[in-house]
Amino acid sequence: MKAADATMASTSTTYHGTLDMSATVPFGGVTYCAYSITLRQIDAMITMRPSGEVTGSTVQALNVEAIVGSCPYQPQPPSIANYTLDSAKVTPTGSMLQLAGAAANSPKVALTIDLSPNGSGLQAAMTFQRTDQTGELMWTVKPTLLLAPAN
Amino acid sequence: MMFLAATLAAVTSFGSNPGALDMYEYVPAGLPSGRPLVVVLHGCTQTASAMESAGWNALADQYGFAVLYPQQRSANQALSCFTWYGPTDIARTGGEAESIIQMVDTEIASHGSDTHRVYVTGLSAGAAFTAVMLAAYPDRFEAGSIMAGLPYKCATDLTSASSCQQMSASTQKTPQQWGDLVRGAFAWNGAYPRVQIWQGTSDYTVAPANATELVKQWTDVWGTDQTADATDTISTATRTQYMAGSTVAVELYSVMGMGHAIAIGADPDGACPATSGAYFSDEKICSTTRAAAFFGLTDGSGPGPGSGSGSGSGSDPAPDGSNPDSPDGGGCNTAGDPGFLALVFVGGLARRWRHAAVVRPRTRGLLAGRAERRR
Repeated sequence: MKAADATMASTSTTYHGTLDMSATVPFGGVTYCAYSITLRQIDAMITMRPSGEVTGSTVQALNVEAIVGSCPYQPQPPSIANYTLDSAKVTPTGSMLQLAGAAANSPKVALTIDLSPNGSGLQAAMTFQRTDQTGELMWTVKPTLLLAPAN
Repeated sequence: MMFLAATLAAVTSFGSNPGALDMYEYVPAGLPSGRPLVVVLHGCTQTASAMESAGWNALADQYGFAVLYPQQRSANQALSCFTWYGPTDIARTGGEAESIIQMVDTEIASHGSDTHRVYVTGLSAGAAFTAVMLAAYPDRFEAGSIMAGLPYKCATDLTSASSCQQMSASTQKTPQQWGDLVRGAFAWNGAYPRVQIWQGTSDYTVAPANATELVKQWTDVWGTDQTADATDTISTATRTQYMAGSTVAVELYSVMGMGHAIAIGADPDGACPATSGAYFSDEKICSTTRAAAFFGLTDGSGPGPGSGSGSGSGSDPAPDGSNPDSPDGGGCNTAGDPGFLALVFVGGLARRWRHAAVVRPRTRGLLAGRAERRR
């Protein structure tokens, strides 16, 4: 027998989670120098109605590029990227969120979040994909955050 | 309770509720006993009321049946998904599937719903759970319609659930492997529920390969092959039927270009009661009326006059899968409606055939008998 309250709460719930750093992902290295990207200080906030419908989400991450080996051309300096909820779609395990990057974000990165339940919280499987480059300079970083109720 | 339009009524007491779900119903005014029951399951992040857009309530008014809307609780599952990948929840006892059957039993006890005309449908996670109900309770459901769903027991945890949505080659199984999962859910020698499947070809959430796997699973359960017996095109959809004897055991609608949604819209066969809403896509074909037709709900007359008293007790079936509770339509007030009297007679006859069926081995003869009963 599951323990559960008799009614749904009437207020929205905000979930919050952080991740100190993602896995480091290499890019370049063929006709360009070899670089790597690590997303640090990932901070995610998701607000949802009692039904689980997502009504808001913000994500912030620090892009940290590095040279792999040696290269005369420096990587981009560390930059903070911000994302806000663009759309949410139902999946059989929860919700797939599409977040829009802020205009000031550099490089340009698309962010999707596959949201599923995790105990009393949420699991956010994130996919950051650079969109302003193709081929060897494009990268994809896939960190997973656990979010807990924040209110 | 929140989130519900006035048309749905909450039912707060319906058993031990091991899955911790909520129950809502739509029962047309004056509905006599002995009428069918349709169970409608919502998707993740949705509520029962979201599924009202499908138009089942309007069909219930027109053709005379009750509609049951189970609802997931956020305290139970943060994203309000029916837990189609949870070993306890998809088992016959102890979880969400049992809670839904308790709701069905409550409808039977309260409104005299016909124990042998209970159907289930749903979207996405609700569709996956439709497969759960058909597999765990083949003795309780006559048919189901799975809309953007997944095979029964494809996943038993969240990780495998994500893999199932994509249904890559490594996740796919043989028909017998899929069928064995259903047969392992409950020892059942009777005829299995008929299954209708809806799938958008551009569904990137639940990969279209899931529909193929569902066809494998349920044709195998029915003891028939995976070679289509009939194929036709209706508006934007291709309909493929798989026969067991003269019965359409499994039917697949593959809707060209549709994403993760329920197909609605002006249907060549008639008006569609559905209204626009999130995850309802105008594809000029109406899944609601076609599911109702597949269930046999649109074949006969409406509910007819008279209220009658409840005729079903809602008791659990006997351990061997047979159901000792066979009211044979008793308690209905037919009030001089010969058409309704005929329906009651046929319904009673059908029940007797079913009782014969459950003690017979699963053979082609049984399938043929089931087909005869339906037509």
